[in-house]
Parts: sequence; structure tokens; C-alpha cells
Amino acid sequence: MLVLQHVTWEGPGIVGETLRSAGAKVKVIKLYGDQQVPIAMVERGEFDCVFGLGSPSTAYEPKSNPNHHAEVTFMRAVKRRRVPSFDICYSMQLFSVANSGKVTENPDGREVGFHELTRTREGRRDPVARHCSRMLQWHGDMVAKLPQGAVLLASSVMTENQIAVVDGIHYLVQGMGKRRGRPC
Amino acid sequence: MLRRWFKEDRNWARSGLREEEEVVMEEATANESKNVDSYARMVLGFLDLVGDSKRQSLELA
Repeated sequence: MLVLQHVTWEGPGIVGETLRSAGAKVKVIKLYGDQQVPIAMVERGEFDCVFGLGSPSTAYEPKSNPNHHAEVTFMRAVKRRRVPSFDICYSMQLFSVANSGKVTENPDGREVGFHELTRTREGRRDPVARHCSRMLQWHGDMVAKLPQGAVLLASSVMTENQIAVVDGIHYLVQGMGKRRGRPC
Repeated sequence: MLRRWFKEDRNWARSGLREEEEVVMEEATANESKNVDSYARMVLGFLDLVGDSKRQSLELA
């Protein structure tokens, strides 16, 4: 399994702990160092799934991420090759930008702290989204238009597109898990 | 590069809002067990789905 980490202070956190406890073999690519976006590895089918972590970068401002274009290519490859993905916060936004969605600044302002989620009918039955009714938020942008064919699973008062799934295997999750001081 | 941009170039960072938000985040996570449990269950639900997807791919192959 692959974890894409964008910045030092947004590490795997709960995701990493859960994967380790499940006995998963995990490769963490640290994009803030000198590691490259592993497009070829995804094309070769080397990963069972991908976890994309958060970042302070802005998905609709390519200059805010030196790997923006490579990551867009990566997200398109993940979708085209049907590699299951769990895309958190910035990664949700980047996946959306890469796959026909749209990201904007949230007109209602920044969403910070724990917020309740309202699950849709699909979300209440979903094997992933049904587990979460409250999530930690720290973002000022939002997915204004989900990728084509996405199913909305949960919303918060400030952000409609909180959790969605694309093609049944790509989970877009705006909120994060967290260990104190270390969002993921 | 990212850290420099994050600290210096964003209006909300310059305004001190980031520091306020960090306080909110710390307070919000002071009792974080509920968040840890539910988020971990979401990840485990996803891993189950990945396992099912892989089994289906192998069967089709």
C-alpha cells in the first residue's frame, strides 16, 4: 500500500497506525524530500491501494505545489487503472481537479475543529462512510464540483462535499484523522 | 518551498489566523479518542473494500 505525504507536519497519523495494526505493508513516499511522485509504479500495478494525505497547498493553484502536475497525472492514473484510493483533504481536492471536478475557496470561510456530518442515504449504507458521523476539519477550500459519477456520502453545515466515492473505490474525505499536533 | 509559502505568502498565515486555528485544533483534539476510533473504523472499512476488490480482480483473471 502506498501513502503519499506532502509535508512533514501532516503525517500518516491514524491512517498509519491503522494500517500497521492491520498488518499492511506500507510504503510512504515523502514528496517534501527528494522522492518523486510514483506514477510509473502505479502504472505497473505495484500497489493494492493509495492513501493521499493533506497539505497546505491549493489544488487550483499549481504554483503552490512543485509536484502539482505530476500529482495530477498520478491521480488520473489511479482512477484509470482502478487502484482503490483514500484521498484526504488536499488529496481529495487534487483528485477532484484531476478528474473533472472543481475546487474553490469555501465562500462560507474556513472550517476548523470538529464538525458533525450528515450522511446521505448512500452514506448510511456505505461500508466506509457509515463509520464516521463527526470529523476534524482544517481547510479553507472545498470541492465545489465532484468528479463525474461521484456519489455524495456525507456533508457538514459548511461544506457539502465532505465524503464522496468515485467508481465505488476512490474515497474522497475532506476531514482528517489526527494525533495531537499531527494531522494526517 | 512549501513551508516558506505556507508561512509567508498566505494572507491568513500573515494575519495570525493560523495561530488561532492551531489553538482551536489543539483544544478540539484534547479528547480525541472518539475521532481516532471512528476514523480508524473508516480506514478499516476501506481496507475490507480493497480486499474485496483484489479478490474480484483475481477471480476475473
